[in-house]
Amino acid sequence: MLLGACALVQRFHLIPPPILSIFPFCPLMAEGNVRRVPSLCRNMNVISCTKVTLLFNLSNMFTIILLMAAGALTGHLLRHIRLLRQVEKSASLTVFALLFVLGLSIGSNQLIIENLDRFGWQAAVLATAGTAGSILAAALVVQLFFNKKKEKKA
Amino acid sequence: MKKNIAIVLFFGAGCLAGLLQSGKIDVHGLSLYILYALMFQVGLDMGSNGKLKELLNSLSPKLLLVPTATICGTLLFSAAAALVLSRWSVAECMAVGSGFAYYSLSSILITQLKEASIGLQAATELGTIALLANIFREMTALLCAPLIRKHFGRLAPISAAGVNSMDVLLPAITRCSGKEMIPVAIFHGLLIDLSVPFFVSFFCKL
Repeated sequence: MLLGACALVQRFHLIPPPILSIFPFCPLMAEGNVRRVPSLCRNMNVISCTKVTLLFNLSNMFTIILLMAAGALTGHLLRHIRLLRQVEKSASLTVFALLFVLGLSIGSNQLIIENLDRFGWQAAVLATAGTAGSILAAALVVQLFFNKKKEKKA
Repeated sequence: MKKNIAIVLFFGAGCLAGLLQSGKIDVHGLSLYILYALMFQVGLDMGSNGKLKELLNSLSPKLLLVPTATICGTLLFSAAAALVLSRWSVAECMAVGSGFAYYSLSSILITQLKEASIGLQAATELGTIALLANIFREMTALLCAPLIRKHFGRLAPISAAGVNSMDVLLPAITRCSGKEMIPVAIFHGLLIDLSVPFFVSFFCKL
C-alpha cells in the first residue's frame, strides 16, 4: 500500500527519487540521507517534502483504519470464540515487540547515540513541557466539560 | 508496575541490540508490520466485546475538545520552554512540540524545512532535538500512563500520548481509563496525526 503509493509518485516524477528514498526506509532521520539529497533538488525539497510526507502519512493511516475495521468486523463475527478474550494480552505483547524494534532503531542510529549528551537535556525540557502542557489542558477539559455527565449518571 | 518493568526491559534490550549490531537492518519495514498487527488486534478486541454500537454512539462533537486541549496545551508550554532554551526561538520550540510524539515525521520535516532559514548544521541539530524530545514524550506517556490517569483524569493519558493514542499507547490507555475511551483515543490519534505536518511546517516557516 505504502510502497505502492510511493511507486506511483515516483512513476509520475512528482518528486525526485532521492527524497522519496528517505521516507519508506528510515523512520529515524539518518544524517547520511539528508545530506545525500543532491543540491539541485534542494530548492524543490521544501515544497515537495511536505507533499510526500502527507501522502505517506495518509496512505499509512488509511491502511491502519482499514485494518482496524477489518479486525472489528472479524471480531464481531467471531465474538463467541473464547480465544478472542485473550486478544488484550496479545496486543500488549505486540506493543512490547514494537518497543523492542523502537529500541533497536534508536540503538543503531549513530545520530541519536552521539548527540544524546549534547542535545539530550534540551530535548528533555521540550518533552517535559509538551507532555505537561497537554496533561494540564486535558485535566482542564475534564473539569470543565466532562464531569457534569458523570454526576448525572451517578 | 510489572508492565513498566517489561516496557523498560524490552526497550532497553532493543537499544542494546541496536548498539551491538553493526550491519544495517530494515527496522522500518518490520515496525510497520508489527504496527499493522497491533491495529488488527485492537479492532478484534473492539469487535468481540459486543459493545461496538455503544462505543460508536459515544462519539460526540464534544470529543473534539480532547485534541484541541492536546494541541493548545502542548504548543503553549513548548513556547514557554523557549524561555529556558535561549538557543532556539519560540517558533522553533513550538515546531518541536508540534511533533506530538510523532518523532520520525517531525524530525525529518524540521530538518528539511529549516535548512533554508537557519542552515544545514542548525537544522540538523533542531531535527535531532525534535527526534529525541518526541521519543522522550512517547516513553513518558507510556511509563507514566497510570500515574497521569490517577492525578489528572481519564482524558490526560490520551492527551499526553499525542499521536500515539491510537496505536502504541492504546492498550495502556484502555487499561487505565477504561474501554469506553477507545473511540476517543483513536479519534484523537487520527486528528493529531493529520495536524502534525500542518503545524510543523507552519511553525518552521514562521
